[in-house]
Amino acid sequence: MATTNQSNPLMQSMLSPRGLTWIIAIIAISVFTWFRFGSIMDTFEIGILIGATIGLIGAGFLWQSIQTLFAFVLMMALIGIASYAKHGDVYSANETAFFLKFLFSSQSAFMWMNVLFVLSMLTYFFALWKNSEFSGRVATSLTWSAVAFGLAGMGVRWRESYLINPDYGHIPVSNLYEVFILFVIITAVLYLYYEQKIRNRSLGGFAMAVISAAVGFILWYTFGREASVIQPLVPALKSYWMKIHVPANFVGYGTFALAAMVAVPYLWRNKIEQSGNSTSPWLTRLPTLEVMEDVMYKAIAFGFAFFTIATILGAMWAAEAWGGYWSWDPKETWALIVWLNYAAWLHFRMSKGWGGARMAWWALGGLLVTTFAFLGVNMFLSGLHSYGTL
Amino acid sequence: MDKKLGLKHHPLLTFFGSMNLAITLLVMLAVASVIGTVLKQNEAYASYVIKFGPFWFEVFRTLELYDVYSAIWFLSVLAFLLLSISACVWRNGAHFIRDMFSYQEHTHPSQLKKMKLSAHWETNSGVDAIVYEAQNAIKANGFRIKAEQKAEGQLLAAKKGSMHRLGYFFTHIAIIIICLGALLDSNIKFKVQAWLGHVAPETRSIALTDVDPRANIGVDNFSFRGSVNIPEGKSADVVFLTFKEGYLVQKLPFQVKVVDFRVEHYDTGMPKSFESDIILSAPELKEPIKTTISVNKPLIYKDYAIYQSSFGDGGSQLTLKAWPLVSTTPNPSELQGEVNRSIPVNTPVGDYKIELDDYKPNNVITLAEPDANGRKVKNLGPSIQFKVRDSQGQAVEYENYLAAIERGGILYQASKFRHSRAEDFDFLMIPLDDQKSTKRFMNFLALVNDRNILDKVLDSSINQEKDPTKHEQLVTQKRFMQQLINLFRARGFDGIHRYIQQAMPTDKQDKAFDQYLEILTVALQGVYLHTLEAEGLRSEKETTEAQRRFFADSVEAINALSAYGPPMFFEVTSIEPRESSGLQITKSPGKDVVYFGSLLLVIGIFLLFYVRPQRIWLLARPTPEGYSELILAGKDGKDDKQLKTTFDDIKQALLLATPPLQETAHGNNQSV
Ligand code: HEM
Repeated sequence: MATTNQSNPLMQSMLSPRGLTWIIAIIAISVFTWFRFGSIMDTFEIGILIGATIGLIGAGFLWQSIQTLFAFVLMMALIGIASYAKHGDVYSANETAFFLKFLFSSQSAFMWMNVLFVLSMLTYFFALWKNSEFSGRVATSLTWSAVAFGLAGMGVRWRESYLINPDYGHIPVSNLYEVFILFVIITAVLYLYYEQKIRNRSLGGFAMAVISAAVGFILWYTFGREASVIQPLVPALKSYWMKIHVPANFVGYGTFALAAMVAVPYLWRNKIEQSGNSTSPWLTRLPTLEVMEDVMYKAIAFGFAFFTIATILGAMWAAEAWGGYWSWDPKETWALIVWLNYAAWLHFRMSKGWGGARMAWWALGGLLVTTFAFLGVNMFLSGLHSYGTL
Repeated sequence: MDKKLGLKHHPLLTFFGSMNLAITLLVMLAVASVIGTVLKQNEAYASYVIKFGPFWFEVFRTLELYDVYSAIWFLSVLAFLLLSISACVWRNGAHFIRDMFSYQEHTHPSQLKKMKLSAHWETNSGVDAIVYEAQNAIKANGFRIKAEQKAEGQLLAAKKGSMHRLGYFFTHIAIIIICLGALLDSNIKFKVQAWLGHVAPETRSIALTDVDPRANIGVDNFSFRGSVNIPEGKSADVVFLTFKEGYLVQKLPFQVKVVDFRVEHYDTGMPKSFESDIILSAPELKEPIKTTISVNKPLIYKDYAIYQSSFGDGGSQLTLKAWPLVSTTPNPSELQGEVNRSIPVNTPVGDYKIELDDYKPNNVITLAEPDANGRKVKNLGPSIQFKVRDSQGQAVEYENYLAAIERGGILYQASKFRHSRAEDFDFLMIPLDDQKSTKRFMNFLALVNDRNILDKVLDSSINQEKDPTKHEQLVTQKRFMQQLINLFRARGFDGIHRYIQQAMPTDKQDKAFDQYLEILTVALQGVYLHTLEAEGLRSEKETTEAQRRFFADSVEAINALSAYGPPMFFEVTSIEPRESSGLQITKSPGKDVVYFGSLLLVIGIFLLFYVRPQRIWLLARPTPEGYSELILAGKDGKDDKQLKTTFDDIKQALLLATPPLQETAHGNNQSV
């Protein structure tokens, strides 16, 4: 009896054929990367490569779907990169080569991502309205596909920046356009994680609503402002810190946005329950208040941890680029405001035991603060982060 | 012990350690920070007065809103937060530590039965067998167990994840450490010294030797953050700290020389890297340190860090050609100058001072549409910025581009100008001739400047007219044309317009203006042909399309000249750039303290969120009937869901190993 208890499920899945394949595949890819690019990588980049390898293997076991996603993204990105190679590695091939023009150049991939996200929102809401299990499954697949297109697009864009001019090459997390794409991808992945966890798809439409709003911004930014043009990096951004600081930050923003969007159905269900209408069909479709509250808490706690790390990394970067770890620059200050806001939220919940509608409203309001921190500041306030000058 | 308990419940400690106060303070900090970002900090007081008016300016100043983050009230909020966290740690500390080490073996059987995760049943197995099986099952789930014989029976108290409590200490002590570290690096000490009168900022920009001694800070200062501009080839052993309405001069224990400053550019003209070759020498160094610093790559020397932070002109040497704009002879004179200095120029129409403000090697502009390569930026090349000040002190601001600027296939020499900072810049675009020089335009201009030019241009043909009345007519016509040219040269199209407005009835004005323009154009064309002839370019009456474009552009330029200001146009003939490198030098002993605190904070947060403090209890005791009773219970912080699976596992194992007698299995957790 005791023996079955001792066999750790994580250990089991690692030693399964699939698990071993995963480990070997990821290690093989990073060894390949090292052979190919090791000569031009500095110590920190090698550190990041090793960290990414371990992190990815770990993430694949904590959540198996990552393995499948990774396989698809890798395949799509490789098709994109190979198509460029086949057309002489010139950037303009994205207008002629079939695979690039219609599927995997970064621009096309992002457009697919945008469309799929909006479709997935509509499908999720349809599934909720009609209580249709099948539509729900379709919506989930749409979301996964959108994420795959987005990630593949990022990978291809990374390559494209080198194709335009080797001098320009950089990981695409360097301006508002690129991080917005990162934001929708991360938010969607986090949502998918909780969807699997709570085995209920009814929150999908709400989560995809905030993503679709961001998609709207991306579209306006692309067509109204030509923001998708790949630009070289200003000197201050040429730092390995950027590669970890920005994604860590967006894990935070993504979870906070997700928590806010879970607050909406929470408040809705809360209202129905308080009105005493126990026959409402929504009560059977939406998760219980307890489950939604738990998702909100877990998301915020997770995001808070990442946001803390991101802010600290930002401080270390600032210390190196600007000579001071903290300058009360508007972006920094707003990061602090966001952080204080969620610290206060967590305290109310943990120590005062607050819960219910109040905390849900607060989580929803947190989205305003968060949005201002990563969009409003760029639009309305100027400072070191606007990179207008050196 | 009693005394300590008493202290813990002291009202003051309760007040400071209360969650309500803590959250209030957090919110206050957040609000203050919002103010600091919305209201631009540390600008010149004059600009605040303009923005808010004298009344609100005064109110905001009293509230110290122009430098929120070092305002007394802001620092007090921070201090209170520190007090609050300290009080909180103090209040909860002992309890949390006890809890960390305790197995909570004093828990009573009835308490165990009341827990959310709890089950109990009677079984045939003996107490020892139960304890043995339970020990195995609980251990298998990673718990540490303490076994104890109690009056009620045999107790197993197990726990896991005690580190969670450590997380509380780590996070909260980390905040205190971070704040203290930041305090070390702050300018509080200067504020105190300024308050005591030992330190006072210097507000004038004057030579170092004349600076107020109270603004001089010695090398023993343990933390600062300052900056200094060093021209190439020069060195410095001080940095300037901004403080209140002026600056302080911080002495360095070493000397930094900037050998060379370089900006590299992308093909778009955007800067790609900024770097300085520097030499650091100090008495204690046998060999000076020679190195290159760049953005994101500072030089660390002892406790000091030297950063590349900005750049500027360090006195570029310029040779200028000054074209006289009102003279009838197009002969430029040559001038020598240096950026950040001024050149006196005496002309027949007055004395002027040219203040050379800056030389910019690149001017990158953003295009509305991306070009063929998908680029949205374009480099207009180098420019100089300068002011020309007359003897009354009035100045006009200029920016002249060194390279020709192309528009619709034609090349121009461009100059931007404005008469006050409140205005937008106007453009003077001088068309360039076939030699890509301004010469032909200047020749043309010199002729237009001649107040009797039409005598030269027209007299030979007028004199061929033998009919006296016709001759008379032609002479009158010539005089009128000459007046028009003179008016145009002095005041531009605008001048002609105004003249007509004064001299004619309203309904005739538009028509007259068109007529006047036509006459003016004919007259200027005559002068222009004369210019071409003088260049030897024209033998017959035909002009080329390019020459006609040139004429139109020249007229446009002469029109702009009426507002251009001082009577000179400056062309740069040679330049020897000399840059200055802006260095930021810091000594921040608090940095490592802050980093250490940050590390604690991160570890603490992960411990708090991801280590669950879980406990399992098992009590086994014989019943009077000769069976054994078994109570199993579990608890997980404030959230028992996490433990449920583990609890069920253990319960399942025990149910199999020590099966219950019929119908004696009970529990609060019925999902067997
Ligand atoms: C900027 C300041 C602070 C930050 C960032 C911070 C951070 C945190 C975090 C992240 C948690 C964990 C919440 C959770 O487990 O969900 C926590 C818990 C807690 N904090 Fe703070 N805190 C701060 C200030 C304070 C202050 C001033 C007090 C005292 C009044 C305090 C008292 C507590 C208590 C009692 C807990 C619960 C610990 C437990 O039950 O395990 N915190 N804090």
